[in-house]
Amino acid sequence: MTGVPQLDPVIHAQARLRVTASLATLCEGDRVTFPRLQELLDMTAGNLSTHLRKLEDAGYVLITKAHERRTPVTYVELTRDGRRAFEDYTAALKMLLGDAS
Amino acid sequence: MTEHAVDDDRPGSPADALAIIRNQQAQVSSAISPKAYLFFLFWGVAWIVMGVSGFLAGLGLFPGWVAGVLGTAAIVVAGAASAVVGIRSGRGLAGQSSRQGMLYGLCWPVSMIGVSVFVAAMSAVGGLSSDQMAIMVPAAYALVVGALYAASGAVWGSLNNFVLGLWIVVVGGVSPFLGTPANLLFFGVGAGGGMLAVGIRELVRSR
Repeated sequence: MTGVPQLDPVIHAQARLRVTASLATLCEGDRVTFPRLQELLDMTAGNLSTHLRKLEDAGYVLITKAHERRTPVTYVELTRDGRRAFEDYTAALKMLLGDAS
Repeated sequence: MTEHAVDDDRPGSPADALAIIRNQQAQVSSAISPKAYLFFLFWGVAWIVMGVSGFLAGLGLFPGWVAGVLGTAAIVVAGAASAVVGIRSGRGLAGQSSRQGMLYGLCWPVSMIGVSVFVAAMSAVGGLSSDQMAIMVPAAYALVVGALYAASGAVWGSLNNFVLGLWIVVVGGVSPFLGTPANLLFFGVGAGGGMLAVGIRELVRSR
């Protein structure tokens, strides 16, 4: 054992935890539009943007803008680092709870 | 700053954090994957309507065109309902899985149109009698539908879909031996009933 595991402060906030968990539910390489993510999380656009920016700054989330039939669409996906950070975070939680698995 | 207040809203404990993850992930997976039981319920009812009305028409209880209209209406309603359910769950998603789901979804209308054209050709070009058609048509649909269900079960890891698909293939293969109109009843109640049974089971489990 290497002492008490650290919880990643970027993920360890209720709203960002929900955002990250939702994005991690998608398969690797899949992405979701901003409005659908907002609907899945039941968050306001402003609130979601704020948290996505923090996740993006940490390199955990990739935001891409595309045009579909001339309408701008914003896609959100977890980066490889983000997915790994989420897995580490979950593992740290389990370790804190004494679940060695 | 309110933004800061939101940021400091940390999970109360590691257990709370794990609960947030589990709830959120369960909610998202159920929202983004089409509810398979809805497909089974729609199509189970449609196949029972087709099979039973065909059987009753075969017994001479009502004219064949009535069975044809009922069967067509059942297919149109179930097809439209399936398309709505499939498209709704995939809204706003892109990437490898969506592509896979969309291409698989497309196999359905294309295969069904293929079977319909084949069946029409058997009548028009092959010169099959209406009794021969009544034996061949349900079997042809059941074999293709069963194979598509079984393949989806294999790819997406649903044992229900897989077993149901193989059962429908068996119904399709065996039904001609019963002669007509008994084959139509077997087709409707056997394959349609199987879908309905699986659909109700999954519906109950999802509650």
